[in-house]
Amino acid sequence: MKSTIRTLALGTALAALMAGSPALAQSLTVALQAEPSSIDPQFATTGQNQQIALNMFETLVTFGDDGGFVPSLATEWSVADDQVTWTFNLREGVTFHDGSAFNAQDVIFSLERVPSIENSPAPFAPRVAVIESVTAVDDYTIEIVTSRPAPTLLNDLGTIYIVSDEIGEGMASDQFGFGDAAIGTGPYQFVSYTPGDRVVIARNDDYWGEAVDFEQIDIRFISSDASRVASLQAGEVDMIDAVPPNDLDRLRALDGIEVIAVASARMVYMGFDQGGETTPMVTGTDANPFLDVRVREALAHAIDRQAIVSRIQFDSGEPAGQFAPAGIFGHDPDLLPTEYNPERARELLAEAGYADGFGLTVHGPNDRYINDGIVTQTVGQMWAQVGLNVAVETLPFNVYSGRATAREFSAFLFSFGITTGESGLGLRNVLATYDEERGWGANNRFRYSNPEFDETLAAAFAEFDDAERERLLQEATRIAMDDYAITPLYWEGNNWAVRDGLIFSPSPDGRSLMTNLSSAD
Amino acid sequence: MVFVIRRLLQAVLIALVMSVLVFAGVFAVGNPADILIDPEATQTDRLRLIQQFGLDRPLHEQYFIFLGNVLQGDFGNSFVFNRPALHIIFERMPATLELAFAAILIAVVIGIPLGLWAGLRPNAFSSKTIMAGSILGFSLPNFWQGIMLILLFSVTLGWLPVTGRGPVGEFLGIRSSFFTLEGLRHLALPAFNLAVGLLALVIRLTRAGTLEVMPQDFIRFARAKGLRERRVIFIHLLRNILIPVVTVVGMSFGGLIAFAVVTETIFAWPGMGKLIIDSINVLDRPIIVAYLMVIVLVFILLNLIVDILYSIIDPRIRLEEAGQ
Repeated sequence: MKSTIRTLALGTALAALMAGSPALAQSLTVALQAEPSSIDPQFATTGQNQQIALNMFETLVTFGDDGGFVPSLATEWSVADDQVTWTFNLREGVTFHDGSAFNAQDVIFSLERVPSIENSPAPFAPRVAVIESVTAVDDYTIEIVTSRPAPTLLNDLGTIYIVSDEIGEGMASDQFGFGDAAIGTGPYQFVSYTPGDRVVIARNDDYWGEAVDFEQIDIRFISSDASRVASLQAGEVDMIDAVPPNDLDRLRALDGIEVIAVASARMVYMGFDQGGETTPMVTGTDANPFLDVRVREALAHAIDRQAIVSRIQFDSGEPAGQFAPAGIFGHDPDLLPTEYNPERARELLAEAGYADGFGLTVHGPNDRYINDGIVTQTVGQMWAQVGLNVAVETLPFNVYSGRATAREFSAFLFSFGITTGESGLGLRNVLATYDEERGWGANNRFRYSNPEFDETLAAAFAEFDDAERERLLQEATRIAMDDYAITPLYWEGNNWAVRDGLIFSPSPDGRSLMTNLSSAD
Repeated sequence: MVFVIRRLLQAVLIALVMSVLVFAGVFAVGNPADILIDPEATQTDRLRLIQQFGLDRPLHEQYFIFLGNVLQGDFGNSFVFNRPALHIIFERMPATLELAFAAILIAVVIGIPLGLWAGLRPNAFSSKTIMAGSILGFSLPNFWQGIMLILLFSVTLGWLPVTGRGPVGEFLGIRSSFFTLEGLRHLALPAFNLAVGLLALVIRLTRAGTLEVMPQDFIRFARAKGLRERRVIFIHLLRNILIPVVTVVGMSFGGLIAFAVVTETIFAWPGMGKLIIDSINVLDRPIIVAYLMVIVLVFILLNLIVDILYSIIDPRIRLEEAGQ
C-alpha cells in the first residue's frame, strides 16, 4: 500500500514536471503603460480604455487586416437601396459571461445606452448620432435606419461594444469596475479591477470563437518605463508594452526575451500656421512665410525622416509621407515621404525670397509622444542647416496643447492616431477647413484650407462604393500633400517585449490586446 | 479644546485660499478641454463637452459653482474617471499612508540609533562612515536611488518584487500589506526609497542633538548621581534631543504622504501620489483641487499632533503657548 502511494506520488511529480511549461503558460502577468479610466466599454474611446475593453467585449463587426470588415457578433449585413436602412443578421448561440443568451435586444440596448452616457471626455455618442432607429425584426435580425446615407456606419459600429441588456437601464459606468455589470461576450471575462494597480481577466470557457490560451491574465499598470522593463527582466511579468526605443537593442540581445516592433497608425507631423498674414513665432520678415507653398515644400525637403526614425527612435516606426499607413483604408501606396534634399530646400527658400532665411521658434511637446522633445530639437537643427535662424522650445503637453489650440505657434509638432481603420476622420479633423458650424477641422490648429480638399473629402463621406470611397480619400490626401499642408514625419513605433514561449501578434490598431497573445507550445 | 477648534478653523481658511490658488493655477497652465477631449470628436461634440464640464464659463463663475458644491460636500466628478473626486482620492489613500508610515518607521528605527552612535563617538571610523552615508542619502536623486534599488535587489539578486503592492491582510479591521509576508516584501523597496532622505536627516539631527546635549550640566549631574550610562542616554539625553526630531518627522510625514510621487511612480504603487501626477498631466482639475485640500487638512492635523506630542515629551510646553 505504502509503495503504491509512493509510486503514485512519484508519477504525479513526474507528470507535473513534464507538464511544466504549458502549466506555467496558463496564467500570465503583463504590464501595460497606460491605465483605463473606466471598465465600462462604452465610457470613453481612448486607447487605454479600448485595449482593456476589447478583451472582454465584442462589436457587431471588426476591422480586418486589409482594411475590410470581418463578421463578429453580426454574421451578415446589407444596406437597402434607399441607402438608409441596414439589416444585420446576428450570430446565434452566443452567450454572455453570466450565461444569458445574446440576441437582438442586447444590441438595441447597447446602441441606445451609448448616447445616455454623460460627462465622458471621449464619448462614443457621435459615432451613433446618425442612427435614427434600431428595431428587432426577430431575435437575431435587427434593422438600423440612419437619418442620412452613412457609408461609414460600419466603421462606427465596429467600435461600439455590445453589453448585456440584463444590466438594466441607467447603469452607472462605475458598476462595471466595482459592481457586476462588466458582462460581455468576449474571449476573456472580467474578474477584478484595482485602480492604479491592475485589471484581472479570465478565460471565457464558453466563447463562441476560438478559445484563448490562458486561464487568467493579470494586467498590471506600470507607467514608469524603467520599472516596466525591469519587471520583465526580473521575470515578474511575461509581457510589456510601450518598450522605450532606447531599450530595444538591449532587450533584443537578452536571452529569453523577444521584442516585437511595428509601426503604428499614429502619424507625427509638423504643422505650419497658414491662418493669417502674420504669424507669431517668425522674425526677420513681416509676412507669414508659411502662406507660400514653396516655403512649406522647402521645409519638408529639409527633414531627414529616415535619420529621425533610425537615430532618435532607434529604428522603431517608419518615415511617413501621408496620413494613413499601409493597411489602413485610404492609404495611397504611391505617396512616398518627401525626399530629403537640403539643396532643393535652399533653392526653394531662395525662390520664395528667403535666401537669407528667417527667424523661427519651433515648438513641440516633451512628454507626450516617444522622444518628442528630441525630435523637435532635431527638426529645428535640420531647418537651421538650410538657412533658417531657429530656436526650439519644448513644453509639457498640458501647457503645450492649450497654446497650440490658441494658435500661439508658427511651426509645431503634433500627431494624430487613426483608430477607426480608415483615414477619413483624421483628414476631416486635421486637414479640413476649420469650421465650427460644420464641425470640421477641430484639430486644424494651423488653419490649412483648400476648398478642393474639402469637396473631395465630403464626396468620400457620402460615397457607398468602397473602392470609390477609398479613391476619393486617396485623392483628398494627395491634394493636401501636394499643398504641403503639413509635413508628416513618421508613424510612431509600437513596441512590445515578451518572454520566450509567448507569441504576440500585433493587430493594425496597435493596441496591446491580450487576445493577440498566445502560447508558443 | 479652544486651541484645537482654532486650529481647525485655520485649516478651513487655508483650504479656501488653497482652492483659489489651485483653480487659478490650473487655469493658467492650460485648458483641460484641449487634452481631455477625443481628437476624433467633431467641433459640435467638443463644444457640448466643454459646456458639460462648465469650462465655457468665466473662471470666477466656475469657482463659485465649485464652492457652492463643496459646501454641500460635493467636490465634483473627475473629468477623466467621471467618479467623485474625493472618492477616488480616499480609495488610494490607504496605500499611500501605509507607504509613508513604513518609511517613517524605517527612518526612526534606523536613524535614531545610528545618530546616537555617531554622536556618542564622534571620532570613530564607524561614525564617520555613517555621516558620509547620510550625505549620500541626502544628495542622491530619489528616482535614481529607486531604479538602482530595483536593479540590485530585484533584477540582479531577485530577492524582492520590482513593483506593485502585494496582497493586503486584515488585522483589527485595518487592511494593509503590513499583515502579509508578500505584502511586506512588496513594501520593502518603495518604503526604503521613500525613507532614505528622511533617514539621513534623522541621523544628522540626532547626532547634532547628542553632541550639543552631552556636555551639559544635567548629564554630568545624572552621571554624578551614579546613574547607569544606559539610563543617562535613553532617558536624560534622548528626551532632550527628541523635540527637533519629532518636529521634523511629523512635518515630513505630511511631505511623504503628499509628495511620494516619484517613489509611487517608479514602483507602480497604487497610491495618491501617482494619481495626482497623472491628474496634473491631464489637468483633471476636480482631482487636483480636492487632493490639495485633503493635503492641507493632513498637514494641519499633523501640526496639531506634533504640538500635542511636544507637551508630552516636554511638560514645560503648554499647548496654548504653542498655538500662538
